[in-house]
Amino acid sequence: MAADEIGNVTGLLRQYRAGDQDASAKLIAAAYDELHRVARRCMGNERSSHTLQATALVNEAFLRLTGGANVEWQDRAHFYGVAARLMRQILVDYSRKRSAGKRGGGRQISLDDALVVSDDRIEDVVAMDQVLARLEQMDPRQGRIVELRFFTGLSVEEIAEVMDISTPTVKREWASAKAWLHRELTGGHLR
Amino acid sequence: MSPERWQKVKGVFEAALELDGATRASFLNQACETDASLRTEVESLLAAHDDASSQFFAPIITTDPMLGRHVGTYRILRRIGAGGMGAVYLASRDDDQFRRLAAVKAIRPDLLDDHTRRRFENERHTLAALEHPNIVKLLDGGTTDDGIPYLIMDYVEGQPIDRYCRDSGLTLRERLALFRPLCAAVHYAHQNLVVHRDLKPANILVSPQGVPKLLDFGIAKLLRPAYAAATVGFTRTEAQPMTPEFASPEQILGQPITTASDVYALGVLLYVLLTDAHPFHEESKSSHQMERAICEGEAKKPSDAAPPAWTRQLKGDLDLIILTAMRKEPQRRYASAEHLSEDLRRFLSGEPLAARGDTILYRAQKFVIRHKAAVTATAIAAALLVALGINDHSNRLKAERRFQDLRSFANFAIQDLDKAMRDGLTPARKSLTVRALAYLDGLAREAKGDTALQLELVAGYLKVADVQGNLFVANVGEQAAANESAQKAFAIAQEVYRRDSVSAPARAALARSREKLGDLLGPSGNRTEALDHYRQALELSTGESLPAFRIGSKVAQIQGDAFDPAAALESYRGCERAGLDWVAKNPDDPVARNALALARERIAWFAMLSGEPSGAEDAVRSAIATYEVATPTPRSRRNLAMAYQTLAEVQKRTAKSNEALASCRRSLALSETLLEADPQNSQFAIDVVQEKTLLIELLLAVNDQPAAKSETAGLLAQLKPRVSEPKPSIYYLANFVAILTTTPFAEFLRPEEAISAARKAVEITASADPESLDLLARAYAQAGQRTEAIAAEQKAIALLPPARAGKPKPETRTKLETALANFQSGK
Repeated sequence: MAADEIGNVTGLLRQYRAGDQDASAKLIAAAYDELHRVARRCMGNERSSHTLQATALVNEAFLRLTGGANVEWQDRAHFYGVAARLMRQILVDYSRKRSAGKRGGGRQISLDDALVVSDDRIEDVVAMDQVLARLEQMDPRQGRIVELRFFTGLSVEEIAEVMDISTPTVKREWASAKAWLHRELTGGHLR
Repeated sequence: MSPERWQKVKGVFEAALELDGATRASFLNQACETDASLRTEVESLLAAHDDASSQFFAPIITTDPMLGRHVGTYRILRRIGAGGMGAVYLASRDDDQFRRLAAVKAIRPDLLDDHTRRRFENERHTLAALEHPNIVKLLDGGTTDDGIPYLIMDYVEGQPIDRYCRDSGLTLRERLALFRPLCAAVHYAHQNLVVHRDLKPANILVSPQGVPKLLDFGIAKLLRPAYAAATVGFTRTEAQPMTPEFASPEQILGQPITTASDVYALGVLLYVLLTDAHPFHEESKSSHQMERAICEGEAKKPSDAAPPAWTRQLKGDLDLIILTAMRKEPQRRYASAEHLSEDLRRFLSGEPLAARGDTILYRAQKFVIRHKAAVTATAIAAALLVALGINDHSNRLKAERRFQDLRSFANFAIQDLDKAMRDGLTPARKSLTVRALAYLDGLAREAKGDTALQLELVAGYLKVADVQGNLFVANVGEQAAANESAQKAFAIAQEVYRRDSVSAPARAALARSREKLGDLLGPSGNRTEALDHYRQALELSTGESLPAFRIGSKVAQIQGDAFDPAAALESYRGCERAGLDWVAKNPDDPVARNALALARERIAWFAMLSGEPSGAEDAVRSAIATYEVATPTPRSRRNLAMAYQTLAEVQKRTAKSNEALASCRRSLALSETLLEADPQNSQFAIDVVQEKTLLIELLLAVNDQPAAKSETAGLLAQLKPRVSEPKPSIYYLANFVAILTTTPFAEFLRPEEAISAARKAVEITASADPESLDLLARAYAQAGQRTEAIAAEQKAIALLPPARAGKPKPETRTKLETALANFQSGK
């Protein structure tokens, strides 16, 4: 990525933080491209046994987008927020296509994506997306924690850093979110 | 739930989570005193919390390492499917002005052991040669740097044929029109010696233009052991396909798979396409029940299984055609996919069907039943031969057809009878060999310039050479004939190689031919030449562990035969390492374990001959432990006999005469059993002679003179006719002379016979074998011809490799030098 584009991304992040919707769209486009580029590059070079977690992917995409410049933590947090949302969108679209293809019997499902959900987790993605949407309505902050954890693979400590809250808070929120999501997903609610 | 309510529930839940048992209960009593639904809510969350699987909440994505990579000249774009065998990707090639799309099938590496991997390499070239409008072309294949085997094939966008027929609402006649090109494609592959083995709707895609395309030709065979490993509950797994729905009875029973198995699968496919029902599959049936039904059950007539609207069209001819293709006995099905297609054509044009009479092969089968043969596979081969004979005389088939049938036969004999030939009885092998050779010679005349066919011929001649007299495998003692077959293979391989020296199959064929020539030349004494062939074979081969073991052990054998036990020991230690590696990768592969045992047995032998016998007994005992539990086949029993023979020799040298005697008797008993079962096997006969010679020596060592004497008399009587043959085996001559020159019993002394036999041995080994010369020297000495004895012994010693400084003197050198000193001092 060219240097001016990198500067541009840092600028976009700042504008995005200031509430500029146009910057948001541009940032999303840049992040999306970069996520794919990083993923492909990793695929090209790494040994086959290597599986790349989404976290590493987002980290690297972020570093490349910002050119390793000293970016303010708020910008970093925003970037992760954007990335997590993007990942979620990509994965849900992909999984929907995949499971639709599965019902149709198979061969010609297309996937323009270097990121792969193993077959047995396709259902998980769609289910999680739906139930998470309900959690977000009850508690947006908790929803973001789950989004960062589940779709981007950030650790509890990373989530605490990105969201600027304490680690115990993330742990507590994650515990109750998990319990609630699990109950909703398994139909364990006694109504 | 409202956000406010959720905050409240969450607060109580989080607090309760910190507590346990009675404390939690009393906290909940208090916190939810006035709100019963709050308590229910919190308790269900607590239960869910304990229950929540970390598996589900694990971050969702990983990346696929194949994406974006280059395989061959293609770059992988995206994944288009996944299955038990691995994943399929869309790939493209951009290196010319056209953008060519391809499908890349990556095979799960854990499905392939070393052996399969090698076959995968060899056979994909054959598959790549298939060019047919209804066969998806295999473009390339190989293994990535990090060991993932892959196949690259044309990319076909299409629907599986069963779904296509349903979704497009094809009429019965349209379905038949779609089906007939498939028969032609299958027949074409059969003519090219490839059997599909796994025909099913998922492997047949229909393009948007309505062209059916067959996928994965021959792949099932490449992956056969993997299929077996992945299949639970089968007893005879060698030929099991992944799903039994389209498997023939012979596939389920683990019997030889031939072109007839594909004809069967085509029959089932047609059944499914015309009835929308499977002949044996019902929802309630387990796959085991289905297998039983396939082998024993009677399929419902298609006209009874089909929707009522089609009953009338199916009744009669189509019922007969489908059920003929699906007959349980392979011989009673249509003789080829083309015959099936021809009957469908006749149906479509209203002509009488061929299936109305029994097939030619059915008549052939009756012949076989009249002449009950021992080996089922051989019986089938005989049936085929008879069928071909009938075809010749009936003028029904043109020369072109005969040529095609011959290729099918060659395929049949080579691919499917291989195992029967290796483990079977000698007369069966011998008669098959003669017939196979006649066909191969016929084919060779027509094969000039046809690389694919020539490569097949190389494989064919080599198999025949194997059967004719390879000492590494069972043989019928026809060394000269074997050599001739191997030379034919070599000449063809060289011709192909000269045309294209970079082609992997050409290199492989040449390597195999050279290896085979080495195999045949080594035992007849031409060691330098054999070693030369082996070294070139090694050079032509890639550095895989299986060839490393195999050719390495052959090099070691030559070194041993060249009286360089230290070098042989070193080579076998290399084999041991290759064997350990092989076993580590395939702990359940008996072939790997046996290979390791073989290396250890040989290590014991050459450690002993190098004059460093410590550890030898442990090594050979480890080999015996492996062989004792191996499935008893002629080969594994012979390995066991040889290991006991080595153990006896080791024990003899460590002053354990009684133990040595017991080991030798065990070895002899094993070899005699083998010979009894296969009396014409010259290898087993040689083994028995060698063990009897050792037995006599050991009987003398424990002072059992009467037994030694009677054994000597018996053995000499047995050897006499053998050594007076025009071209006796060196092994018979050597044992004969050894006994005559060492026997303490005066009545057995025959100095002239000993000299004449020893001269013959020297002659056969081209005066290049120190042991033959040593025997000649001893024979001269025994006859009182001291000068000749000294000269022969000196010649023998001169042939030994120089002794190595700082190493114990090899046993043979010690023995020969002692003998020379004795002759010189007049003892």
